[in-house]
Formats: sequence, C-alpha cells, structure tokens
Amino acid sequence: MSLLEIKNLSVEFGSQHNPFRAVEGLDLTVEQGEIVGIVGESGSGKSVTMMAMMGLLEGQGRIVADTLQFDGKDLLTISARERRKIVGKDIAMIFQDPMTSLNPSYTVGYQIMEVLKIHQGLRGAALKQRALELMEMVEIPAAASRLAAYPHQLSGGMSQRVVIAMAIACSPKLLIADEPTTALDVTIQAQIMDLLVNLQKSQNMALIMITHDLAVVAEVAHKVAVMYAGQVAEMAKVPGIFRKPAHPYTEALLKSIPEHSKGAHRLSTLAGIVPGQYDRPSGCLLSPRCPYVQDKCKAQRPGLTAIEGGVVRCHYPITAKEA
Amino acid sequence: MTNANTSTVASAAEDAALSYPSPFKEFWQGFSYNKGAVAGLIFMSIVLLCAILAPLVAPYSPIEQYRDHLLTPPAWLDGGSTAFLLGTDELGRDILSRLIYGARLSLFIGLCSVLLALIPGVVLGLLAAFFPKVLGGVIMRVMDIMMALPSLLLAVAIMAILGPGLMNAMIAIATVSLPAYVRLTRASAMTELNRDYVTASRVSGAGLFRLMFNTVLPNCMAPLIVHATMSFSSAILEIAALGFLGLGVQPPTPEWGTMLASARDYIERAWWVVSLPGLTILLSVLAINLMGDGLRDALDPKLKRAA
Amino acid sequence: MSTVLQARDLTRYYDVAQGFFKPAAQVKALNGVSFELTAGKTLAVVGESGCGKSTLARQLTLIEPPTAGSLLLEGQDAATASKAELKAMRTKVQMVFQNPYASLNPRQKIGTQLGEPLEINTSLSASEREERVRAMMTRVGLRPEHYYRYPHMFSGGQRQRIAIARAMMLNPRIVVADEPTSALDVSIQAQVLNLFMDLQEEFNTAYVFISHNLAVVEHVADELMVMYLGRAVEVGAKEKIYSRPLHPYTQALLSATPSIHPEDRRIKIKIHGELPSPLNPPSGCTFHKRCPFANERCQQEVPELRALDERMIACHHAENINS
Repeated sequence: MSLLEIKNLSVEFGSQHNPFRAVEGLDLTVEQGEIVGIVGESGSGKSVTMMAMMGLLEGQGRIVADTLQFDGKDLLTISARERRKIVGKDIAMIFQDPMTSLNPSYTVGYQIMEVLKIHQGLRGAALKQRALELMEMVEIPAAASRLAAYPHQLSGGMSQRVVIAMAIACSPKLLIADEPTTALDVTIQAQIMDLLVNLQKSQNMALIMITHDLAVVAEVAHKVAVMYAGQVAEMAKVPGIFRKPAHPYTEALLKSIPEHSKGAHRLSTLAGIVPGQYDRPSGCLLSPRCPYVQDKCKAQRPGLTAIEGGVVRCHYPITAKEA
Repeated sequence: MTNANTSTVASAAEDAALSYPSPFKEFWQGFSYNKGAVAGLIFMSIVLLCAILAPLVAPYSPIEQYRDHLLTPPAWLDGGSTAFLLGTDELGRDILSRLIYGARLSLFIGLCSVLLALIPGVVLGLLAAFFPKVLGGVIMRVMDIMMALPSLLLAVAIMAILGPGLMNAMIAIATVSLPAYVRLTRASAMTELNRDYVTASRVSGAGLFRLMFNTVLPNCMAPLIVHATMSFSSAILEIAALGFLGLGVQPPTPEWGTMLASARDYIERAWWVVSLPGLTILLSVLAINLMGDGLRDALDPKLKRAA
Repeated sequence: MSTVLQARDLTRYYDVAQGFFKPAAQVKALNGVSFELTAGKTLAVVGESGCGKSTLARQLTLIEPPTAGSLLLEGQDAATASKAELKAMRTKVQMVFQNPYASLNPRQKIGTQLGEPLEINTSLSASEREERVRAMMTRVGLRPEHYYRYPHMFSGGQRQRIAIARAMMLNPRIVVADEPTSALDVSIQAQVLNLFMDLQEEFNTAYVFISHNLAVVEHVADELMVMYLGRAVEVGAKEKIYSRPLHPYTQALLSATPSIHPEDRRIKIKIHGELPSPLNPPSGCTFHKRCPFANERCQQEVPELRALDERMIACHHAENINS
C-alpha cells in the first residue's frame, strides 16, 4: 500500500455559483522513501494541493476527492482532532521563507522543544537532549549555543536548517518541502538540498518537493508531476520525463530553460500566459498556447493516459522520436 | 514573443483584464461592504445638507430671542409646544434652529482645523523622510516635545497667546494635532522611499519636488485620509471643549460646544438645553468615526480581503 | 567597438551605527572594483547576497557617489561633472529592478509612468511624448489599451515588460538589470530574456546584468564578473570562465547550480559554512574560511586581481589547484 494516495482531488474556492477550481482531478501516489517533485508555475495549484491534503484550507476551500489516504487512514473522514495528531507528526512541512516560518519572539531552542513537548511528551533533560540532537542532525555548528539564539540572529540558511529540524522532530513519514531553497543563495541552496536528501535517506521518509525549478527536481527526485492550471499535465519517472517529455507543456518548460538552448540567441518560449479564473478554455487547458494544437484539443478535455513510466494528460502525446 | 501567435492569445486574455474595476469602483466596493460606514455617511450627508440649507430648513433665526418662551421643553414633553420642536433655551432661542446653524460652524471648524494640520503636517513629514539626518531629526524632536504636552493644555496655552476667537481656536486645534500627521506621513514615506519605483524615478532624473509630491505622496495618502476623518471628529470635540471653557466661539454665534457650555447652569432644571447639543455632537462624532473605519477598510491594502 | 563605461577601483563604504558609545562601523560594500563595458555587450555580475551587486548598481546609475575610485561614462568622469552634466549623464544609464511588484508606482497609469522620463529630460510636447510611449509599448509587446491601466492590473511578466520599456524610453547607452527575472516563472523568464536580447540588438545598448542564476547568466552574458564580499574574484569572457573556472569560489558556484541533464553535471565541489557578514569580513582573502584550498597565506594576504589564462583572477593558489 502506498504511503499517500490521492485520487481525483479537486479544490474549489469562491462562491457556490461562481467557483474557482484551483485543483482539478488530481491523482498522486507517494511510496515510502520516495522523492516526488511537483513542478509548476505560480498559480498552478501545487501548494494548494498540499494544503488541502493536510486540512489547512478549512473554511476557505471546498475539497472533494475519491480517495485521500495517508498511511492507511482516510484523511477525508477523520475528525479535526485526529488530523492534528497526524499533521505535524507524521506529515511535516517546510516553507519557502525560513524567516517568516519561525516565530521571531521566541528562541529557536524554545520553538524546537515546543514541538517535542506537544507531539512526543518529552520533558526536562531528555527534551533538551533531543533538541540538541536534532540541531546536530541538521548540521548546525555550535548547536548548544545556537539553541538560545533568536531567529533574527541567524542567517537564512541557518534558519532553514532550524525549520527542517522542527519538521523532522517527530520523525515524520512524509516531509513536504514547499520551495525550500528559493529564498536562499546558490551555495547555501546546494547545502540545504544535500541535507534534505541525506535526511530523507537516513530517516527513510517520503519527500515531496514543491518547486518551480526543474533543475532542482531533476537532480534529486524519483518521480515528477508537472502541474498546469490546477491539473497534472504529466507525471513520470526521472530522468525519463526530462529526456522524453510526453506533454507539450513539459517540453515547452524544458525548452524555456536557458540551459536547454545553449549557444542560441533566443530562448524558445511558450506564448501567452497561464489561463486565469475566468478565461479557462473549454477544451484542453493548454490548447490556446500549445504549438501542436488540433481541433479535438479545443473541443474536449483530455484525460490521463498511461505512457511509459507515467501518465500524461494529452490527446496527442509527443512520442519518443524527438529524443 | 511578438509574433502573430502571441497577439491572438494576448487578446483572449485581454477581455478578462478589461473587467478590472476602476480605482473608484474598487474603493466603493470596499467602503459599502462596511454597513456602519454607510450609515455614518448617510447621517453626515443629512447633517451637511442641513448645514448648507440652514436658512431654508431652520424654522427660526438662531439668535432671535422669544422672551415669552424661556426654557420651553421639547414638543413631546408636558408643557412643550409644536412651535418649538426641540424646545428653547434660557434666552428663548429655538434649539433646533441653533443646532442646524451650529452645524455650519462646527463642520467648518472641523474641516478647517483638519486642513490646517494636514497640509503643513504632510510637508513636514515628507521633509523629515527625505532628509532623515539633520532636518528630519530636528522636525521629529520638535514634534516629540509637542506630543509630550497634554493636548488640551497646549491648545489652551496657544489660545492664551493668540487670544480667543474662532480663527485662533482652529489654529490651536490644528497645532495640537500636527505631530500625528507628521509622524504618519514620515513613517509611510520612509517605507515608500525604499521601494524600487522611487529609485526608478530617481534614475530617470526626477527632482526632489517631483519625488516628494508626485511619486511618494500619492502612495502615502490612504492612512492620511483615514486619520484626517478621525481627527475631524476630535476637532469638533476639542472646539466644543474650548467653547465650554469660553475660549472658542463667542456667543451669541450658534456652535455646538458653546451651546453646551452656556447651558450648563440649567442642567437640573432643563436637561434638554444641555443634552440635545451633546447628543448632536455624540452622533456626529460617531458617524464620522464609522466613516473612518469604512475608509480604512477601503483604502488600507493590508486589510483588504483576498479576492 | 566602443567602450561606454569604465569603472576604476570603484569603492563604496557605508557607516553603520553600532550603539551609542561605540564608533560607527564601516561596511565595505564595494571594495575596489574595476571593469570596462562595451556598447552592445553584456557584462554579467554574479554573486550571492552581500557581495556588493546592488551597491554596484547604485554606483553605476549615479544615484550615489562612490567613496573612492572613478566612473567614466563615455569618457566623462562622473566625479568632476557639473550638476547639469551629471543630469545628462544620468539619462544614459537606466535600470530594471528585480521585483516587478515594487518597481512600478501603484498610483500612476502606465502611460504616465513611461512618459515621466521624457517629461523630465526632454522638451517634447505631450502628444509627442504619448507617441513615443506608445511606440515603445508596442516594441516591448504591450497593447495600446494598456496605456490607461494601473500596475495592479498586470501580471509579473507584463510588469517587467513595462519596467523594461521605462528603462528604454530615453534610449540609454547602458541598462543595469538587477536580477530582472528571478521573480518570474520559467516560461515568462524566457520571454523577458528574449526581449532583453532583442532590444540590445536593436538599440546597441550595453547591459550590466546582475544575477545569481548561472544558467541565465550563461545565456545572456558576454563578459562575466564573479564577486565575493565586495571584490571581484574572477573576471573574463563568459566562454573561458564557464568552460574552465579557475577561482575556487567560481567553481563552487558553478557546481552548486542544479542542472537538468545529468551528463552536464560537474563534479560537486562542496563549500561549507555561511556567507561571512560584510560588517566583519575575514582577514586576507575573504573567501579563505570557506575555501577548501586555503592556507596561512590566504589568511594574511589579500590576493590582487591578476591575469591568468586569458582572464583576471584573485587567488593565491590559482595555478596550483588547477594544474
């Protein structure tokens, strides 16, 4: 059985008669110890999916799904109280900006120990010991003295390490990292990525990496889901998806990376912008921008089709010949 | 990206973009969302209309004394008469007429003292933000000293120097509320100054005057407008307080605060002479404050609900 | 090939108050940087936060005088120029900023903002200005009706086009672009980069392109300057540095940049530790605390930029570590 299983998840915002579908018909499975990358541009619904799964959208969005299972428990039906026991303990999350995900009024030691107190019931010397251990696990030098530091006294990279320490405090089975390195400098970014992957291996966690940077997931992920306007456009294994993208959108994303057009004067681009709330086309969501668009694409929304190593949402997937 | 393909796609996206509301419509949406603010606006519009059309609306002249009808109670009480709907005061003047004419002066005073504080306050605040080292330091320290004094005491002291009178009362009230404007302008101008668009304007060669009033000031206006509404009501209260102390408007000119002050001897015998002007002040201040809340909701982007 | 800009030993220190009784400390934000810029070419400035990139941008746009060193714009020295001359010089250097959401005045219509540089610096009539503005809007891919819109009605990519249009209004000799695409999505980034390249070809503008994204830099740059803590550590032609980086910091930066294609991956040179605080930089070579090759000499002696293998490099051990 998979650790996380999502089938046909939809998330709607706004009023009943004028809803905005931020996520539509999303399927995703994550196995234990797997690294899954979720890639997409802003507004593609990648963060909303994770928020919905963890029940953080309560009162804002309407969540509908056929299956939403984590570790054998049905997240759709359990009570808020039970969910709180899972979220933060078995599922942990780290956010993009480490500076805002730590409370500036408390020392980092206090904040780590707070997590341990709530979820593991540790007290006294054991508590301090475990906090110190965690700080060392995330490779913070001079851990003992850093416990007494306030967030503003730490650099961005250090703060992100503290955030990671808090996330893995309860040995979660699934760690969700939402753009964990975007706010950091290049060399620090590499350090944090190394740390995350090492922790993932040593703790045997599943790791979901939400990012807009294809190169980051190309280096670490086992499987990548490319999202476009609330739908999964393509989900396939690495490196296959980067060698032979089957969806025109995946292909276009890859081509628009400067690394891809070395020596060329112009980058290849996908014309236009991601459709917004009011201008979603009736056919395939990519149809107004797709270079290979056919009549069928404009009329009918494609479903997910199985391809080698994954699934693709396209009437006319690109075949292997282009590789 | 400027090929034919883009333009067709862009035009499809365009139609959606066209439906963006104009800034005024957006403001009204935010404002009308707040029911209290709309109620306040309606009340103040009625008061304002009465004030403007006072000679037409008021049944009597505000200073004419009906010696036969001293201290007549309001119409709905025993001994009241429909001739004087809200009764008469100790000199036999119709209270309703005095309240209506009084609105003219009270609103005028409120508006003037706000403008007298707003304009120099904004200029000083901008100067303090643009020259933070020497000039800014001096301005802010002077403002700190002004803020350290109890406001009514300061106003009375200024009146003592300038002498009683309407104009002087407005100057006194404006001076007292000046530091708040300076601080507010300086704070929001300082944040705006760090924004890239100000640098961009500088790079394209904008001079100091243009930077201050064209580039930065419009972006600082939201909190200032809100504060101005709020201090409009406190100006009415303060002029009432000065009037109560005999330093404001001189009798027999009708003004809410002065009415309140001159009637204080009759509190036990004829409560309406004191209460009605008091009630009018209370309601107006409440209405203006509610409007201020609505303005803040509509103008302050930090409080804007996510679309 | 004409040189449009010469910077010699450009230096900028800032005083930072340290408390009531302590003397103000000096941050050496820019510590003797020299380079030349050729018309129609792009110099990319690469480095992490605190390396002095943004300070350099402020010097180049002449909105802040340097503490020492000189800046020659088309042969004219900014330090000795009169007020009127300085104003004329300023029109030749324009800037594009990182955050498209902060770089446009939210209370001004697009047409007004684009017309502002012309209004200040030229004696064109209102109708002539509007004509020029509309021509430039078409040039950068904006539509005529955008003239009367406010910035909040635009997406990030469109705003960056507006910002570029504003910078190009006065037909400057040099455009300083401070991380112009780092806030944008990948596919939008490609569109904006293409626009930059097209405009350069058309107007023969020289770019100073500040970025931390080495993939983007590789695409746009002709010359490259790698900076660390206010100093240039390696300067040279892009091809030379990318094919064979000599400075350990350049090597680390390049290897920290993630890549889509595993075959492109360089051997990872890991550098440890945080970026030092510019308030209290290490002695000698500022990189020595993180450098895997550092020895005693690096702790004491500041390496000067010297020519080596068709580039300039500031490292004591460049020959040894690269042989």
